[in-house]
Amino acid sequence: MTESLLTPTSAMRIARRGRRRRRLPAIVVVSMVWLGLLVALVALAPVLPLPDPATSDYSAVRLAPFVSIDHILGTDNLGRDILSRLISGAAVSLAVGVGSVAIAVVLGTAMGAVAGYFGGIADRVMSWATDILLAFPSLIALIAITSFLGPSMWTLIIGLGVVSIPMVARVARSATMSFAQRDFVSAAKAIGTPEGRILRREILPNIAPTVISFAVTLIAIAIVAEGAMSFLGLGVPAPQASWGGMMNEGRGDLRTAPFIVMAPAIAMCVTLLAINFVADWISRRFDSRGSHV
Amino acid sequence: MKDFAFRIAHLVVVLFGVSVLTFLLIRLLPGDPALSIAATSGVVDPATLEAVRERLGLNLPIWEQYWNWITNALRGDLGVSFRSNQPISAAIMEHLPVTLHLVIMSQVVSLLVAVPVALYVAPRSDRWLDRVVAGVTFALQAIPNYVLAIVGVLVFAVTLGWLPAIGYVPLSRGFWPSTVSLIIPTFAISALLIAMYIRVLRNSMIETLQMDYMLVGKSLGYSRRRLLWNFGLKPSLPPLVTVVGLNFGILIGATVVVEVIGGIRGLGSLLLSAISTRDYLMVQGLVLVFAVAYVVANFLADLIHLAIDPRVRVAR
Repeated sequence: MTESLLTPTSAMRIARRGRRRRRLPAIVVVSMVWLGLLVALVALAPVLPLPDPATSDYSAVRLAPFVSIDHILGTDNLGRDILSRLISGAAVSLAVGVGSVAIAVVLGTAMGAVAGYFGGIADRVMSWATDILLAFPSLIALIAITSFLGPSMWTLIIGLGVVSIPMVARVARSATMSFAQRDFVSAAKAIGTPEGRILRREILPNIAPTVISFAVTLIAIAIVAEGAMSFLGLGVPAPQASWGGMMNEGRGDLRTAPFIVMAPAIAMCVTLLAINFVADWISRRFDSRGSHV
Repeated sequence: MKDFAFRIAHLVVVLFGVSVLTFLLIRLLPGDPALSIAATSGVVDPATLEAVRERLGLNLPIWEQYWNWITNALRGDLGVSFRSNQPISAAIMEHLPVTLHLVIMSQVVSLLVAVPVALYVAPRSDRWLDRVVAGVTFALQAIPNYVLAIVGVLVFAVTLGWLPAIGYVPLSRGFWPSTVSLIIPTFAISALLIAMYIRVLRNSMIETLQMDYMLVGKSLGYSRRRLLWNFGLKPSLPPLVTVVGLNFGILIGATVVVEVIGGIRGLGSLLLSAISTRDYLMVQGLVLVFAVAYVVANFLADLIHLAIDPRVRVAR
């Protein structure tokens, strides 16, 4: 985009964005604090003075939140502590979200960068392949894979990772294409830098911001999918707690004990919002607008 | 025309790839697929095993198996369920209208909400209201539809008692009762769509508003409403139409959890019961339907975009 094409309003908007970019917005700070807290709680769960997430306390079944110091967020229909189950479920959500996205980012970026840089046959083949893979709605693909392989944490991580590869590949490909013809790449080529080195040293650092901000969004999408799978009983098998599974188990008590469902629902929504705020902030910061899709 | 031929070729290649992958799905079964499938009917003796192999043609070379499977599928024959002995395409046709009803209702409701909102905020894109709408759409995009479905049941069915918590009343028992039975699931699915459509239409409307002819219209003294609805809407529509079209393909396979929560016997519920009864051929048939729906919706959205937006045709 050249300067002359800017209308006064959009130029002003860009200027304003530039000013806003310097300070970390409050909402992003809050989001990061929440995500940090979640990670800390998951990491510290074994040493925290909390009841075991899988053990039932039959003296306190469907206990309301904030009435007992033993069960701060109450207990579910089997008398299990909701707070410890939330933390235990967070571990699953984070592991599946980060694990699957890590797989997708490594393989997807490699595929996309190669296709976008070399073009030609490699690009054509990858475009067909991603189009074919993207035709399967990710939840359906995941359900199908799980129904044939059996539910487990690894099925979820690998399944979600595989399902997300084409999406990352597309983003990486279009970002690479916007750099492949730039002067610094031509210069590197002219002095005889090997192609592999150009990809690693010139292309990769430049497409990283775009890929990273997309990857953060993908983590949120993976957590939503993990929740759906657990809700359907196709996620991590019991007795391991997961947010989706907790929502499903609590459904029967919606009338008398809605907090059993609402606790994981709120935890999930807050986490997803936090991740989206961070992703949004990253993409604004690097101003990668227009470079993906 | 060359463009059109290319798109058709692309469609054929993608559909071929999709069918091969779906065909190979059965091979993901650990061990002998015939054994897993025969185990569905309970007793496994060598005779049953042989019968299953015979019926699926598992003794033939793999490309011949694919050829038989795809030619039958093209004729609308996806095989017979080993569970219910019902033809799979018949089961799919029985459940499809329910899901379609939910999808169409969600799309209509979303557009009815999103279009006026987008048209209202687009010319006021610097005001606080635009910020509020942007914030709300941002939040709506983060909430999974199954959370909204549960909250909807909790609020509208359990607490307020206005709506039924579960169940679907077929259209044959009257338009109104059927619509009422789908309000909560529609609410759950529409939230994301509304957010998406407002964003898309708002952004494309803002671009349209910067066109010279809008300035001319304004200087000729047309009212703001007339400018927006009569001159601004049509050129701003192509991106929205594309997204709406794509969503038809995506939603057919995305309503699974909402269907389960709402007790709606659509394609999603059919898929889940097929999985819990290990009805592998049914799973395969459904996956094919979902993927083909997506590819075809994608293709049609492209064509419609081409038809209603002359700029795309010139640019290529």
